[in-house]
Amino acid sequence: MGLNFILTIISYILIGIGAFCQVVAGIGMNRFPNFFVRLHAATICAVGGSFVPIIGCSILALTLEEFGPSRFFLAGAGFVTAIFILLLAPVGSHLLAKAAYFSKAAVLHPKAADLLEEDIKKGEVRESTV
Amino acid sequence: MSQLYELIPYIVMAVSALASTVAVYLAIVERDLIKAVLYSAIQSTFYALLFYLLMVPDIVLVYVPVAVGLLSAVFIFAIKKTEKYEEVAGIPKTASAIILVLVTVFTLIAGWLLIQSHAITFEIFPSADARALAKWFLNTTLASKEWWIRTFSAMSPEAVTAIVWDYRGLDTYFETSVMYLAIIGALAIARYFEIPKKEYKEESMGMSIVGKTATKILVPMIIVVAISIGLHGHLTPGGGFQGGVTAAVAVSLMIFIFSVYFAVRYFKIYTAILLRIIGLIGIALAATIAILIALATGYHGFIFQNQPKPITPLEVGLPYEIGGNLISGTLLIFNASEFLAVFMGFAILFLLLSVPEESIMEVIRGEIE
Repeated sequence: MGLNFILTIISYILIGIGAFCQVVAGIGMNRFPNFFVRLHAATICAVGGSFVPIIGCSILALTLEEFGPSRFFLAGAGFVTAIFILLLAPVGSHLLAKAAYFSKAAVLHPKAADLLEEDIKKGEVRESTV
Repeated sequence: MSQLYELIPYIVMAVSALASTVAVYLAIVERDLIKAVLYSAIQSTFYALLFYLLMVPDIVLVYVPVAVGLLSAVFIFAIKKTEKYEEVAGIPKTASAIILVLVTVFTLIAGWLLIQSHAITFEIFPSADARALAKWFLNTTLASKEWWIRTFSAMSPEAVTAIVWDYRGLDTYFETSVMYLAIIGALAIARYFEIPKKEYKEESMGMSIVGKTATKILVPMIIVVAISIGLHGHLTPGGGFQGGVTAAVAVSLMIFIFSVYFAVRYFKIYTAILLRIIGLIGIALAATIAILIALATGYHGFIFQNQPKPITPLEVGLPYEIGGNLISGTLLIFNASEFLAVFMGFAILFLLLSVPEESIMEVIRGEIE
């Protein structure tokens, strides 16, 4: 019951959260009605399903003492990868959503409200500044 | 029984060669062109099997997607645009059905025999015992004390780079020149095309500020990782080509996220051509450096010579380490030069592809009139 044991438990919990998020994202991908809501499912997949389990794997790598010093390389690479995914996955979703919205490639069919459209009509927002 | 097992790959080869011949015959006589494309894809599948049995898995990896997938897709697309039937006396439907069934049966038999001969396994982890050839490479590519192993050694722990740039250096040299010629061809076609001179405006060009900020963080990281992949080619998986392609991603990101007018600030086409030529000169120099040293000192040398061979003391070679750092002789020079050449080659291609259509049309109209 040392520190290693607690870290192992934490890492398995994180990997489990990742698996759960992947399943939820898969269901969302299939069930959501249009492109923009599906993008939300894709972001769950990227952040919940990739960032969290990679952090878990890095912590797990830290606890494996039989790997010797190379476990620090594994863990460091894992943390850097996770942080980059956390930074860049929202950027990718944002660019996809913007491109799909302004090129009108995705149909916004079950629409509750489109505040951006109203703002553009009023002239408060231009396309290049969004 | 064990003798039969040794025969099985040859039987599979014979069967798949026969089946591919049948598929070629069917592809020729078939009137329905879509079906003919299908037969040709079947023939390509058998060829892939043959390549696999002849122990060239790298060819299979290229051949299957290109010949079975891409080529068939292009053909089907072309057939859709033109006409579906060819005016040739076809064979009767029953005969074609029989032959199709035969081909399927042959495929199943061949697959079963392949599994029986342990050429294909369904195990998750690869088998622990390697082939004799693999064992030879694994034991000889890295440094060893025994002089007779040093005779064959490339002094590099990365067996793939050792094979690519040392044992089969001449092959790789010509592969590099194929890509060089392809880019020369692209440049020759686009010799009058120019990216128009326009000032880059931060607020009106490119994608949103979120994307631009993320790309500003990412591009230096990509270049650093790419240089690391390229220069560690003789130590870890990777190498010059892989590093160059990774670095080229940075150029494409700059073109797509910012603008081509932003990218030309850093990568002008003529500068890129110059740097590419420097990289190619580096490759040629690394190929001939041993013979140049030999000519200068009066010893013997060969092209693509890497390490000095203990068995022939009159031949020169490059040292495998400098100050305790493993550089594997010419492999480091090869990787660095290939990195520069590939990086700049892809940068040229991306810049040429992003020339606006209006300026291309202007050039073409000018040539017609």
